[in-house]
Amino acid sequence: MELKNLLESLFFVSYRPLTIKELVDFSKKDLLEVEEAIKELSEEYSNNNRGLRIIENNKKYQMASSPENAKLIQAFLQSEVSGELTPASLETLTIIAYRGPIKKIELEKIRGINCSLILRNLLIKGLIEEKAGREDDDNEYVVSLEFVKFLGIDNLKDLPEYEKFNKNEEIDKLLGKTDPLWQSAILGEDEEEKEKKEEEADEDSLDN
Amino acid sequence: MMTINIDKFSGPLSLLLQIIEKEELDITSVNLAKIADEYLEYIKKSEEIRPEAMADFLLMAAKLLYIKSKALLPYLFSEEDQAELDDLAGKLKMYKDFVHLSQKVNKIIGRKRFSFFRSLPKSGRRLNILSDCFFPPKNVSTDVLWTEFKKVLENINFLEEELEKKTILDEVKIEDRIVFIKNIISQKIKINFSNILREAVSRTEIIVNFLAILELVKQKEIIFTQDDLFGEIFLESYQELEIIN
Repeated sequence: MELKNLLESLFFVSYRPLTIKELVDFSKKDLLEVEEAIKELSEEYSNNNRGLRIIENNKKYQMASSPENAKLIQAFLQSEVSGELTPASLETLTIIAYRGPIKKIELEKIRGINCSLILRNLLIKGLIEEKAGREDDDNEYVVSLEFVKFLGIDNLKDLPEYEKFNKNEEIDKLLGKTDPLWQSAILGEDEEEKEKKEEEADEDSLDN
Repeated sequence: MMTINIDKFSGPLSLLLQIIEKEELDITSVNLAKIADEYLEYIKKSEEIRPEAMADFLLMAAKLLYIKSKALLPYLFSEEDQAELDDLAGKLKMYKDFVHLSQKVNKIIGRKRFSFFRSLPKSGRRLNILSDCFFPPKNVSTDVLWTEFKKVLENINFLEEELEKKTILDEVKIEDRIVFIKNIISQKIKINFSNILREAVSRTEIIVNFLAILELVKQKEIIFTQDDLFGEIFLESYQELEIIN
């Protein structure tokens, strides 16, 4: 069975986002192959004026209606989302979207103000997700697929000047980011794998 | 009073940015020094700042005053300090970048080009609610639940410890002491400090008296002399002195 074909069916029947790990497990193909197939499928939808999209965030994928039809679909679903956000929410979401996964302390360095309250609000609204770290302070935040849905884009890379602000030495310097593990941390990486990597790194540093 | 309409949650950097942009200045440490007073004036009068956020606003005020003092007395500062100050300008620029990005994101959201996910059909939803519900085992009675609940309650340790409460009393006003000292000085040519402190009953009062004197010196109302370290301080009227000389 062709992989792209299979993935399309999986996306169609699923009511929730599918993680890259699930897709790899179900299809029994390797990661790169699956990613390539999703990319192709997603491009077919966005380039051919279709009514569907595959949106991705944080290595989670879900099939969604295409943004051109927003008004009609909204009426059909009797959905009342307005997409209106307070300036503080908007500011915080923007920073998390461009810089995620981001720790609270870094967010606070950028905004110059305590962000506990706003983070909690955004979590409750389902606009961001929290990835637990080993300590509370290590928790990292990413925007959710729900938020990407509001933007009418396929993934965050489509945001204006995304690359420029996502990887930016100047910002890293101002945030005092020196931890190389942070740089190599891959979005959506399996927690176990990540821990294993960190442990290895710890051992390495002990050896030196 | 300036007309800045700051969103009360956006924070000190947002206020700083708005002042800088209103004055049409570039973000440099020199310009940050220039707007320190305006920033202070704003947080003094603003009622929009939530008390929880006040600490962040005050921290920024302290930084600005530091920058201003450096602009006035550059020889007192090391290169290390300079780096720290440039850091604030850099951070403000970074913040500005993100504010501009957030305006772009807002425009994108404003197009209302929302996507929608498949929603669960009604029957599926009902099933979901069932699976999320709690079904107690058959032999659980209300009595059993009550006993278990009491056990839980007993296990909660209440923290009895009370935090120490102390508020600094508004015993003496510095303004009153200034008037008081001025009166004495106008009657006597020279007076010693311990004389003024005769009625002082608390440490706070002594400190306030001392502050009053410092203020009067600054206003060129009086001058003081002290012959030895920790010795008696003598106060004289500034004008008297001028007449004598």
